[in-house]
Amino acid sequence: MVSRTVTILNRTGLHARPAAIFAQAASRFSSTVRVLKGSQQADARSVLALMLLAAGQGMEITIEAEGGDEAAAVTALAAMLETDFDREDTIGVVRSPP
Amino acid sequence: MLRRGTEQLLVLKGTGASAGIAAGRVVVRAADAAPPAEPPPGDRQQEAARFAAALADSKRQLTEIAQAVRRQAGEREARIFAAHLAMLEDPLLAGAISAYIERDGLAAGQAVERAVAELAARFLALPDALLRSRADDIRDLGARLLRNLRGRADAAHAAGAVLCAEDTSPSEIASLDAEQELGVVTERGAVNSHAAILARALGIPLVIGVSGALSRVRAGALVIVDGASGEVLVEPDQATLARYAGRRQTPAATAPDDSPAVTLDGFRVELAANIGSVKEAAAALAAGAEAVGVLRTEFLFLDRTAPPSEEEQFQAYAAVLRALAPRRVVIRTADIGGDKEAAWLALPSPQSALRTPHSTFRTGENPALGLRGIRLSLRQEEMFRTQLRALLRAAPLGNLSILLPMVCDVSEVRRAKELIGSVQEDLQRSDLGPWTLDLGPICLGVMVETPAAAVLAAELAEQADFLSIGTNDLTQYVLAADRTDQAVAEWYQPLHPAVLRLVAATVDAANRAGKWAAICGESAADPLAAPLFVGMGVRELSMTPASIPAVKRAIRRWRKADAEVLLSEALKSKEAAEVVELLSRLTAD
Repeated sequence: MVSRTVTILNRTGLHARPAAIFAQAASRFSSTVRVLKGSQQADARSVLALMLLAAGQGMEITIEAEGGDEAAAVTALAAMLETDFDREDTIGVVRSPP
Repeated sequence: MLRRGTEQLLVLKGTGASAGIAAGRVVVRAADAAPPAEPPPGDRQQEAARFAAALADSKRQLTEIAQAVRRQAGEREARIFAAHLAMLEDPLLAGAISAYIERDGLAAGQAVERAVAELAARFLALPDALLRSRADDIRDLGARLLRNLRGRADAAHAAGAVLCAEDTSPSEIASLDAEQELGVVTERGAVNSHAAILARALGIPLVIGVSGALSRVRAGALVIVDGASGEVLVEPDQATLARYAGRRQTPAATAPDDSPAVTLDGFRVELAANIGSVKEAAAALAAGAEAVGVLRTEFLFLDRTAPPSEEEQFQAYAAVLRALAPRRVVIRTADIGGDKEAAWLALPSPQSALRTPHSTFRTGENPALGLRGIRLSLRQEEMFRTQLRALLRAAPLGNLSILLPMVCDVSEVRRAKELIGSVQEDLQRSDLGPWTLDLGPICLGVMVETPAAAVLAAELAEQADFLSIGTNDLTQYVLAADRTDQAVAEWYQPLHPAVLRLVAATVDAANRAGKWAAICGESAADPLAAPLFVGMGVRELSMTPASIPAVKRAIRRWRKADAEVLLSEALKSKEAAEVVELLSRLTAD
């Protein structure tokens, strides 16, 4: 299992649109990915679970992955949260692992 | 509640959530307090199957609503339903419902009600107001699932009616037709709910927060809804009705946006119009078209008893070229045959050249694969020469390009070029006026609408000045789905990866040859697909004039670099649904 703790940088946190982009990116990996905030945890592929974390800008969350591509998953998803990935003029496309 | 002057006019006050005036008879939709009895629950397997069917129906309806909203309101508003689709399939919603059925043995309807209530409660407990309002979206999804489980259609409303309810939902607003002057009055609601956002985008007057509306307004009462002031006038007199009728106008249409469509990083896409008659040229200009990407010339050939003369064609082409000069006008040679039959072609004609000896011409069995487009033109050489003469004579009057339809290989283009050269020589020898001396090389394009042409795009690009990809026919041929046959409509998917890969390869071949590529099918008009074409490096999108403003806005939101990444993702997809999901989610709100 690989995990990493990151601070959410994008302005609106993991609300509807960023959560959808994040969940879709997470579903590209074969590993099981969880997002932890305090005592709460969410399946990273579930938009609703991500939104229920109510994770706003500046909060710390931990990404945990377990599976064949766990390292790549954590690296890609953490990098996503550390950028302002839902800005209107950009899109948060994370490339699938090779 | 106020009473105004001496009029016995009841005025209810709420909050205006979407401006506009509606007047009509009230239709009351009571909250679904007493749902109809469910059929007696079956075993777990039967209930799971009922839920699966309701889930599939709901997904199909939401996809349809998203498409309709995209057409009527725009991409941003359509994202609401793309987000609904994602929520519907979420493990916490669909997954929880399945678990209640399969693990706990609940009936499908009960499982939906329990999962929706629990999930909505969790959202309502969040500190953030925006996240709390997702509870409304979840309830909307739950209501849709229940309607589908119980075999009830979305409610239809009579024209000119005012809907009065405890609350409304994005689905309900999307089901209203703005042109029927419907208004909505609710007891609850929020100005920034998805339902209100949608009402504003669709121009449906909405007043929310009218306390006691359901008890104070009876079904059938005549009311005026003022979505700007938040007032609801009950049983107004004739004078009041007349006063409001004068105000019942939609906001003034904005002036045409003539500035070009350029991405955030400076890639310019020319937006052109597809037109099918001389009089549509004006509409193209009014919509801000920079060119005409396709003038279909079939209008000259169909619905008549004899072929058009050279002079008649010359007058038509000259009129369009003059109207649009100096803008480029791409005129496509006749694409008759196929499903566009010209009666006179099959009739005995005094001009023997026009008599068709080919029994294959009227093969009703499979006209899309029959003698049509360039095939027919090359068979009916005199008809084709007449059209070319008219085109070449009109060429000096504007900026003409000629486009050849239904090409399958290079030999057809070569033959057409020989004929154009021969007609040019004839014209130069004849005494038609001084301009014929100016005939330079004519800009010639090839339609890529058969799989063969797409595969041979590099070879065709060598022979032509540009390639114009007709995605409608290309889709029907690649997926073997007749686009006029409702029975196979679900197979006809312009965003299918098999189609997209061919389109991308065609554009790439054109760009490599230093030629430009245009898209002129219906997908050119789809704002959702616009970033894909930007990513491919398409230079021109040609569409029905009305779609130009929305596509222009879509292009301006993107960077070409991002569009290229999106495209590479889309091209990896295995089915159309994946592409649509990718496009919808990346732009999901």
